Amino acid sequence: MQGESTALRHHPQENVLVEYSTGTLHQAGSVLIATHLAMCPTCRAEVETLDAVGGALLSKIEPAEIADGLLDRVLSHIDETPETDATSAGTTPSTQASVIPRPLRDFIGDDLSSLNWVEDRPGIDRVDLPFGTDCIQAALFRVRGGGSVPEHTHSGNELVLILAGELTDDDGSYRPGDVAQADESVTHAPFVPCSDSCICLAIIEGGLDLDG
Amino acid sequence: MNNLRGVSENFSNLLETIAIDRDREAFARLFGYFAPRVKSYVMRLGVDEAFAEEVVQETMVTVWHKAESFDRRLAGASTWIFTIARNKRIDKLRREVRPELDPNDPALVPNAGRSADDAAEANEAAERIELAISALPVDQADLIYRAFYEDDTHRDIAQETGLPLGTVKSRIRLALKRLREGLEDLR
Ligand SMILES: [Zn+2]
Repeated sequence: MQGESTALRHHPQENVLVEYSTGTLHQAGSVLIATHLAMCPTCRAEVETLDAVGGALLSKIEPAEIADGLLDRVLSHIDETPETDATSAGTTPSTQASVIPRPLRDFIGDDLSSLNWVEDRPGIDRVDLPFGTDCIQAALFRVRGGGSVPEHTHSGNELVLILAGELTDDDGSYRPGDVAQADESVTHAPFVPCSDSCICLAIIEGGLDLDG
Repeated sequence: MNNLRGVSENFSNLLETIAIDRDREAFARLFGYFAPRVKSYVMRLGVDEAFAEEVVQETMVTVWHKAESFDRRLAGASTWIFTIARNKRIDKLRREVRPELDPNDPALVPNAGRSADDAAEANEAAERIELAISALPVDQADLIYRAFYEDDTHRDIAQETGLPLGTVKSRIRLALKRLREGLEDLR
């Protein structure tokens, strides 16, 4: 992936990046976006700008009253707690060849083929991910080469990040790093145009209507 | 009008002094400016005072411990502190860890053609953005504010303002476009 100079072609919509930057986006969506950001310098620069907007607003906000003694409390904590660095705790070390960025690698490791795949429907395997919730399905899907996803509608936002292989729908062709986004207005039946399987991370709000 | 550039540079200097000298005096000055603002930011997002002060406390403790990872070429001081506060709030509120980029991740696709050598860049960008926000039309500034500081998704904003979702999206897009143009003047 790194060797190819071609930039990604399909990016998340700006409002999703805004919700990621502000922290409104749920965890499942944030994992997907952070993974895309690792693969996409363009969106990464965009999010840096959005973060800077958040920072700039801090200087415009009406300051709140701070309780007496809060500074002392903080000072006493900086003495006591040598903080464990959250960014290095729980790291899944990457092998050299890894192409799965860290935000996702921390959850699934390095080797897509060794995961616990279960059959979702004929031609499609699935691994459920721990950051899904009652309302949000978070899973990896593996669609076999030449296979397709049955035509479906959506009852909420759907974000799909391609990790390996290729997926095609009416909006074009998606390659590793690309994000496909769909909502209530979209009915599609994505398919795999070549013989290699396509593996993608899908975050689905409200579920799909596969018979719709 | 005070000199924005000076202010922002000052905060970066303070952070560097904290990193190098473990200087409590510098830390107290940074605290004096940012703690009331971080508290205000967190409270706006709809939590009580006690919770907000815990976020302030955790944020400022992290600022102390991580000061040496602050790099003024990459982010302005306010932006750096804002992202720490945002993450602390999420971690605390949802009991989940916000997935973050790891700059040392071997799987990270590097930026093409952007050098981190221009030491002024992030600070200047931060000041440009502040100026650009001040110059936004009221309706756009309000939406930006809601999106960032009121924990509203675009859908929430549409519901509360009675504006169609498409209008909310396009106004925010327009506002962000202006902010970006403000930034591009500088490149
Ligand atoms: Zn992108």
